[in-house]
Amino acid sequence: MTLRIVTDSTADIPLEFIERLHITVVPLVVLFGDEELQDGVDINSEKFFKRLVREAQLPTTSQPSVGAFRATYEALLADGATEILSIHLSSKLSKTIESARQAAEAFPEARIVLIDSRTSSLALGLGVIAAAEALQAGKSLDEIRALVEDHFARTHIFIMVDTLEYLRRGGRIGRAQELIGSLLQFKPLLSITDGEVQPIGRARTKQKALEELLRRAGDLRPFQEAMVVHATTPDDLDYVVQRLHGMEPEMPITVGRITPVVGVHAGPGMIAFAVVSKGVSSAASPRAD
Amino acid sequence: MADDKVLSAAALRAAFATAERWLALNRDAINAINVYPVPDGDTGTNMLLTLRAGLGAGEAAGADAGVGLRAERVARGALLGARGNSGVILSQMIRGGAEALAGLTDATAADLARAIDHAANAAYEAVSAPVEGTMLTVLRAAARAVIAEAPDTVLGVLMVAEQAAQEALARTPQQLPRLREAGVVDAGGLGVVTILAGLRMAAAGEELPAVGLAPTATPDIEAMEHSGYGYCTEYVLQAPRLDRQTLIRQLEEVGGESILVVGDLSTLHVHVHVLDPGPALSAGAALGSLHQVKIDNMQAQHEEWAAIRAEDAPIEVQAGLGLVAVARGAGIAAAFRGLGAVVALPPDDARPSSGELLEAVRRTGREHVLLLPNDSDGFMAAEQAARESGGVVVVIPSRSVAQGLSAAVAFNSLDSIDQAQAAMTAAMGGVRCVEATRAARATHIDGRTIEEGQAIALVDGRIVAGDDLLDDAFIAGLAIAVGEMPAELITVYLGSSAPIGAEEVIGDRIQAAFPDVTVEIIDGGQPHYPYIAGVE
Repeated sequence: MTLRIVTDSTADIPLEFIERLHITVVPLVVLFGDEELQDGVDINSEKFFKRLVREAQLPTTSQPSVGAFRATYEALLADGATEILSIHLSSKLSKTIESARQAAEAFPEARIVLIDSRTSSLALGLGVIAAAEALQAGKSLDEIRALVEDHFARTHIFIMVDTLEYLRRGGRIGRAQELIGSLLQFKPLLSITDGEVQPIGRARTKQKALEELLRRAGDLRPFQEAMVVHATTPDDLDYVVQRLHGMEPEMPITVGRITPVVGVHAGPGMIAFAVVSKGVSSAASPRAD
Repeated sequence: MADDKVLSAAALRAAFATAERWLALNRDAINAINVYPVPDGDTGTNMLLTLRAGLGAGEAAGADAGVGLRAERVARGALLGARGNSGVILSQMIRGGAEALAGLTDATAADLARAIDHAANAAYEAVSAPVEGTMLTVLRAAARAVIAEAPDTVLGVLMVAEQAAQEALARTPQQLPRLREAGVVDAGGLGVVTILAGLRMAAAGEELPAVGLAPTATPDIEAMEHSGYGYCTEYVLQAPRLDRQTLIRQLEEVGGESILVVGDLSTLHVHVHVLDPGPALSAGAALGSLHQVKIDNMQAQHEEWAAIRAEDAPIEVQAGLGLVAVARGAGIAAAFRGLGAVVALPPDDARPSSGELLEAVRRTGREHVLLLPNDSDGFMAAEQAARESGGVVVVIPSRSVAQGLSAAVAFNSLDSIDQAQAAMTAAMGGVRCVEATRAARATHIDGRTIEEGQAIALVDGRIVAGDDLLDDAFIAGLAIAVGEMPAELITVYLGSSAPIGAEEVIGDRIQAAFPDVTVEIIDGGQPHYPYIAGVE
C-alpha cells in the first residue's frame, strides 16, 4: 500500500514542508478580471499584494476544476500510489472538496479518502503536515485519518484582519457581518469555527488586537505546536512568534505567508496564528468521507 | 413643634419638604465648591435629585402611614433614584435612618437620635474605602453628638446634630489636603449640613432665609404639604443676554417652588414646580426662546412609580449578552449604539440613577448585561444597580467615555460573560482620557492656580495644563498623555460647545503634533467639555 497526501493551496504550507514531506498541492485560481492565475504557481504572495493595492478592480477566486483534481490523482496513481488522502478547506468556504469528490469517482480501483477540515489556511496546513509526518513514520491510512481528525479538533485559529471589506466583497464574511456598524474604527478579530468565519470581537488598535487574540489563545494551553502567518507585515508576525514562544518555550512554531487566494479574502495587513492544544477541542470536529 | 418630644409622620414629611427646599436653594452653592473647577461639578444637584426621588416615593406611602413606613418608602425611592457618588451615599444614609425607624408610627427624640446614628453607620458601610473629611465624617460627628447628649425634644436632637455637623464640616479641610489647597470645605458634607439645617428650621417653625444671590419668598407650609402635586416644568432658555434674577423673581411670583435656574448669560436651564405650568413658560418666553420643554405631571409620576414598584417587573431573559452604556451627547450615544449598546442617556446631563440604569438593562432583554458607567462619579450608582439586578448586571468600571468606547469595541454578544468581562477589561487598559474645558471658577489644585474661564486640560481626571486658548491646552494635555505611554490612536470627541470648524482645525493640529498616530474625530455632542480624547 502506497499512500500519498494531497491538499489545496489554501493550506499555506511553506515550501520546505511540501518538498520534504512529498505533499501534493492542488492550486485554486485567482482571477484578475479575465486573467486566470494558478495560486502559488502563476503568482506568488509578493506579486499578488502589490497588484492587489494597485489595481482598481478587486480580484476573485475559484476552486480547482474537476479536471485539475483528476489530473492530479491520475499522476499520483500512475506514479505507484494505491491510496490517496485528500485533505481540504471547509466546504462552507469553497467548492474545492466538491471538485475533489467528483474527480475521485473516476478512480474506483484506488482508495481515495477525502477529509473536509472545516477550516482553512494555516490551520488546514498544520493538519496536513501532521498527516504527512505520520505517513513518514509509517502509519496506515486509517491511523492517519483518525490522527488528522483529532488534530483538527484541537487546532484553534485566531485571525486579525485590517478591515472586513475583503471578506465582505468575497462573500466569506459569515457571522462576522455582526461586527460591522461601529462609528469608531476597529480591527476585526475572527476565527474559523463550524467550517466558517466567526467573529471573536473587535479591538481598537493593532496592538490590542494581537494582545486580545493571544490572551484568548492562552486559555487553551498547554499547546503542542503553533503556526503564524502574515500577508504584508512581517514585523507583526515576528511579534506574535515571540509572544507565543514566551507562552510555550519548547513548542515548535512554523511561520509562513498566506497565498494569494487567501489574500483575496483576507486583505493586506492580516495576521493569523493557529495553536494546537494538547487537550482542548474546538467547537466542532472535522468530517471525513 | 418646638417642644415636641415626638415626631409624627406628617411632621416628618413636612420637615423633609422644608429640607428639600433648603437644599434646592443651596444647590448652586454646593455645586460651586466642588474641588475640581469643571463645569459639571454637581454634588448639590446629585444630592437634591436623590432626596427628591426619595420624597416622591414617600408620597406613595399614603397619608395614614407611620414614620417607619414612610421612611422605608423614601429610602427605597432614594436608592433607585440616587445619582452620583454623593447621591448614593445620601441614599444609604436615608436607608440606615429608615431601618432605625422601622415599625414606628411616631418617632421619639431618642428614636430620631438612633436614626441619625444608623444613618452614619450605613454611610460608612456603603463605601469600600471610607475617607475622612467627607460627608461620612460630618454625619458621624452629628451622630456621636446626639447619642452622647441625648436631647429629649425633636428640635433638641436636630439642633445638636446640625451644630456638630457644622463643626465637623469646618474641620474637613484639615483632614483632606485637596480641600485645603482649594480653600473649600467638602461639598457632600455641606449637603449633609444643609439637610440637617432644613430639618431643624422646620422643627423650630423658622422661615427659610434667602440664599446667596437668590431672594426667596416666605415658604408656605400649607403649599409644601402639596409639594408632591402640580407640574415639574423644565426648559432651556436662550437669548443674547439673560438676567437670571429677573426670571427667578417671576417664577416665584407665579407660585413656583423648588426653583432651579442655572447657566450663563445666554443659556439658562430652568426647573420649577408649579400648579399651572402656563405662566412659568410665559415667564421664560418673555425673555428668550424656549427649548427642550418638558412638563411632567408629578402626581402621575408618583402613581406610575408606585405601580412599577408594585408589580416589580422581572427582567426579560434571553440568551446572549447585553451592553448598557451611559452617554452624554448624541454622537457618543450613536457611537455606543453602533457597537451594540443600549444607551442610558440621563436627562439634563444629570448622572443617571440606579433606577434609570436598571431601566436601560431591562431594554436590552438579555440575561446577562455588562454596564459601562463611563464616569468615576457613576460607579456607586452602577454598583447599586448591579446589586438590585439579582446577578444580571456586571459592571465594567470605565472612568471615562474614552475608556468606555474602547471597552465597547471589544464587546461581543456571543461571548460568555467571563470572556466578555476579560476582553472588555483588557481593552480598557491603557486608554488615557484627555479632556479640555474652561474652568468654572478660580481655584488652586494639583499645585496649580487656575483662573475662572481659563482653558484647562485634564488627563484621567488630573489637571495637567492651563492656557488662555482651549486648543493649546488640549494639545498640551495630549502631549502629556502620549508622553506617559506611546500611542497608536487618538480619538477626539467634539462636544456641543466645540468651536465651529473644529474638526479640521484641531484634527490637523493633532496630526501635525503626533505624525505617527492615527487620528479619528467623532462628533460626540457632549456637554461641558468641548474636547474629550481617548489616547491608546
